[in-house]
Amino acid sequence: MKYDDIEKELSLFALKEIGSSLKDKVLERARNVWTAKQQNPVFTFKLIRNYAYALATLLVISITSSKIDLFLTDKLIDGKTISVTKTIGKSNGIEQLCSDLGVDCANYKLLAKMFKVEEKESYPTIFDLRDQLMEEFNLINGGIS
Amino acid sequence: MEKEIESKIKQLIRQNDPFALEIIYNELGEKLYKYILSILWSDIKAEEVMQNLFVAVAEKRNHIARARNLTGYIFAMARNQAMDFLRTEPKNGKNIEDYKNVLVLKDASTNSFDSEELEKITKAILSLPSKQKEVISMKIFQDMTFENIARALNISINTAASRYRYGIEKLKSKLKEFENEI
Repeated sequence: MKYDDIEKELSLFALKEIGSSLKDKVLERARNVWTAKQQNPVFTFKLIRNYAYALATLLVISITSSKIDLFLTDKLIDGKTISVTKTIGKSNGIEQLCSDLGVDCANYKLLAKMFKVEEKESYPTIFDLRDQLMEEFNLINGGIS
Repeated sequence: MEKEIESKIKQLIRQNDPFALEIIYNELGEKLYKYILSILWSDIKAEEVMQNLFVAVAEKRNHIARARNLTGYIFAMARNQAMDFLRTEPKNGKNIEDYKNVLVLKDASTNSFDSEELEKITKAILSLPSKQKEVISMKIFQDMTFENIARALNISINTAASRYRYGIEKLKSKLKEFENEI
């Protein structure tokens, strides 16, 4: 036998044919298994339960991380938590704002007064100008009779 | 296997109709048997693995219905079943006599081969790595094209062709080696 053209030599052979009785044997066993093992639905109770567990775990992680975040923020601002509430339909005056912020407004009011005084000294109001004009008018016309 | 037949099989599986098994057997049975035979090189063992394979098909029909390449998927299952069988088989006690009846002459009247030569060829084929052995077997003994081999084994055509080429080279050198031994 010449092995140089092995493909030609091998092509003279074939693999043994399948037995005719094998089909019945194979299919009978397979059919029995098919009917015994019912098709599993895609969404089983187990699968849904696992999804629920996963969602609950995520929720717990989310809540815990939010609590930790709040706790750390409290630590950073010296143990004080500021919460500002807004009253709908009611104007927030300075008193209300101070109350919401939880700060003492006395210092702020003092500062505001000082600023107001300073403002009055530098820039005369319209009433000051009116008084001044009346004085000048009286001087010229000898007063209003 | 044609696309329409694959679709029909998938549809039958979704309808939980075991007729799908018969269609798979009619379409792929012969090829699967020869493929398993080329791995195990024993007709008795191949028949046993064929039964195991179809049981596995019935059990894993949901996965099969979702497979993109149905033929490739079933061939991969056949390969796994055959490999599992080889793993459980005892290593010792293998005899060339067990493998002799796997190759048959296509035309016994015009060709004559003495049993010694047939034994040499069988031995040489058995010495090949399994991946080269399966491609050579599909190409030569089952007259499959590289395209069909690639589809069945879920590999590229180039991979199938190169496995074949290397396998043939090894086969040649092995047979020459046997000739020199005499």
